[in-house]
Amino acid sequence: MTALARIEARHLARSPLLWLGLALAAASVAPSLWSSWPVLAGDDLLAYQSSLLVGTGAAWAGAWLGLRDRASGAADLLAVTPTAPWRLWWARLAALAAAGAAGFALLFAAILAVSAARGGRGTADLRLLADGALAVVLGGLVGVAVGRSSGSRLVAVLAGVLWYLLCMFAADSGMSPAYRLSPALMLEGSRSVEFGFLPDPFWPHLAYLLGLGLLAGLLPLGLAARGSGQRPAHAPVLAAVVAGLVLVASGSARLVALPEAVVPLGPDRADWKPGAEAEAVLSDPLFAYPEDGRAISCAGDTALTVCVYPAYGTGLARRVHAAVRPVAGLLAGLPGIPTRVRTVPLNAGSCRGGELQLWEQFVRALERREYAGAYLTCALGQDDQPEATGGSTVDARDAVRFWGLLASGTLTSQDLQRASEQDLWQLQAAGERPSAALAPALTMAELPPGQVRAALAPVWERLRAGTLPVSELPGQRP
Amino acid sequence: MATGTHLRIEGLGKSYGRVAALADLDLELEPGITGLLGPNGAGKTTLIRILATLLAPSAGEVRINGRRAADPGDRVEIRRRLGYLPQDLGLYPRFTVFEFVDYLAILKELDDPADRHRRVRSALAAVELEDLAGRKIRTLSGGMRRRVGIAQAIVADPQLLLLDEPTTGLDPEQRMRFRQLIAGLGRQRTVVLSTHLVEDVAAVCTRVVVLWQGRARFTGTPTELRRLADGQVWSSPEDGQGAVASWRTESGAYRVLGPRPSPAATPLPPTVEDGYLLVTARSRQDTSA
Repeated sequence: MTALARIEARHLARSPLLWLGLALAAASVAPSLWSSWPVLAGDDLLAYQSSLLVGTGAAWAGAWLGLRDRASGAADLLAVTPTAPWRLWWARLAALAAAGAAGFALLFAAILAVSAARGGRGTADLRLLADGALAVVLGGLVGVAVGRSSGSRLVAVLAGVLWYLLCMFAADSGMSPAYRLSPALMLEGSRSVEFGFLPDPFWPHLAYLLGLGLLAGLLPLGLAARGSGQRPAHAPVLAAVVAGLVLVASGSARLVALPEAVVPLGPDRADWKPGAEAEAVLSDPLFAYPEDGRAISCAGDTALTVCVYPAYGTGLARRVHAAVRPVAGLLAGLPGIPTRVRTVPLNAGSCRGGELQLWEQFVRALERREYAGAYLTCALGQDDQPEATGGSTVDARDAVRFWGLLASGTLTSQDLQRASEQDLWQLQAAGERPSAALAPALTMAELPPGQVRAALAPVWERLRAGTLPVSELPGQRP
Repeated sequence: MATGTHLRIEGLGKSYGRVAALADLDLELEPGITGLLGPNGAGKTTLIRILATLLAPSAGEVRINGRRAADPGDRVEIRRRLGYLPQDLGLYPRFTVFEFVDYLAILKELDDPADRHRRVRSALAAVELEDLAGRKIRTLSGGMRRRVGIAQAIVADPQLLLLDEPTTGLDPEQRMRFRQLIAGLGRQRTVVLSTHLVEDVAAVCTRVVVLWQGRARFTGTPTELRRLADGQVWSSPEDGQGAVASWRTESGAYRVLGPRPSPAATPLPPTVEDGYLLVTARSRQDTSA
């Protein structure tokens, strides 16, 4: 049957349906790949998530394989051969698994190669390759079962779509943490290059997928053996069913038992707390992620240093520094201005003691404006007191923030106008009219930056405290 | 080289609901070429499919070299010795000719790759497709596809070869070559050939079975079938009244099958087709009665 599997694999490798899945996956990954900082221990997750669309292609190819004998009318030719139908299907499923897994591995390797070529460093998690390949194989097996049992071309077309929707529905079901039972996990943001996945679902997910794969593979074999009078030996089938059930049950139980989120409140494992528990710690305004000595790839000058985790490399530190430095220069010397920016593994970066802590995923996203915006938010003390208390519908700090973005060249006035109209800073939620903060910012932008800085210096503490009225900003009429 | 198979059919019946496709059929087939003749719906394809172990009979049984097709273990043994060309031949359009025949050869347990490939090439050569071995099946004409079907049927050198309407779609030259091929195969094997083309049967078969509404109405050699029409075939200047069949020939005279149509009629040597037409006409009369 090896020769037969080879012929099938050769054809499946040329299957336009499998390639369609690969092409869709590559197209969906490309924008994210190019818009974030390359790091192997991050782009591997991106590559992993392409398994959803590659699996869709495999489901199409599997469904077509499942109904091929009936659709082509060749079923009788095969039926009169001495080879047991289940053996034939065993070879076909093996070929499908090999072709699907190889296709996914190819894309996975290509994505990592692109990442490496762009300067990506670190170590890829090969469990993601195994898990993604299993998800693709499972998609193919489900496709075979659907195609074989339905015998309908329409259903075969729908098989891939249904597979995609099923995975997406499970992943986005909101039935947390049951979303981890989706064959393809959606785990954006739960990965740190230093600490890995928090929580890490991949070992139980691998067991779960392996079990599902075993059971899904047995279904077409069972359908093939039915009525043929040629059945496989009972013992291995029974063992495979039991193993499949045990793997599915144990894997899914462990997946569901994992906390929805684990927040690293410090570098030690003892500091990693489940989401709800961490929430209480993070709500303390004095909380800051402790110095973990891990963000050691640095760039900068005496006024501002940016440090990131080594896997990101100093290139990213330089990039952040280049984005933040013009803003920092506008406010240099004023009290409370951060002089250090550091990556941290949690999405709750703080601003304490002259240090701005930024979530590493946020830093990876390469949004220069966001870096500058985060720096200004920190410099203006808006982390501590998000809402103005000056009795105005306009927070003077927003006006200064906008000015900082304009005066540093981070944004043009048109950009700012557009962002304001779209309320990108969500000022409306804070009770402000976004456009109201724009006018004073534009007025200040017409003044020399040094003059604005000099005028802000005496009122700086009141500004940071959120008690300065907009009318006292430079260039405003009282 | 394969040796023939002894095929014994006893009380065979097959019903689809209330319709009896085969009824109480008894036959014994020895090595050689047996032609199954009969009009559409006579049960030829049903019989071939039962012999091919694709259909289970509703009554009676089939034994091939003493093995019962109803027994799962025996069925596999029968299939090991079987070559089958179905009437509705389905092939994988994306495969090449060589790949497809090779694929079937693997399923026929030809495990040694070198030997298998040699046999595939030989089967393709037998149907004159060796030059098209690398062509995709979807690019082949109907006749070429039929030849691929014949190639896969003979690739494993079967003892029992079941061919359902094998010459459909073949041009006259291909049909003649096919007859030569089958005649050669039939020297050592048991070949069952289902067809509605009497000339195929007359050309190559050593034995004929005429089926009518699921029953065997004639079993014998083509010569015996032809002799049934001895003294019943005439060349007549006028159309035969009450004849089994009568048609105008190229010379302008009528060829009449049945009683002498007129004193002016002159006897003609009968053909196998005349014998077949006589058997089916009598069967029709029996059914009406």
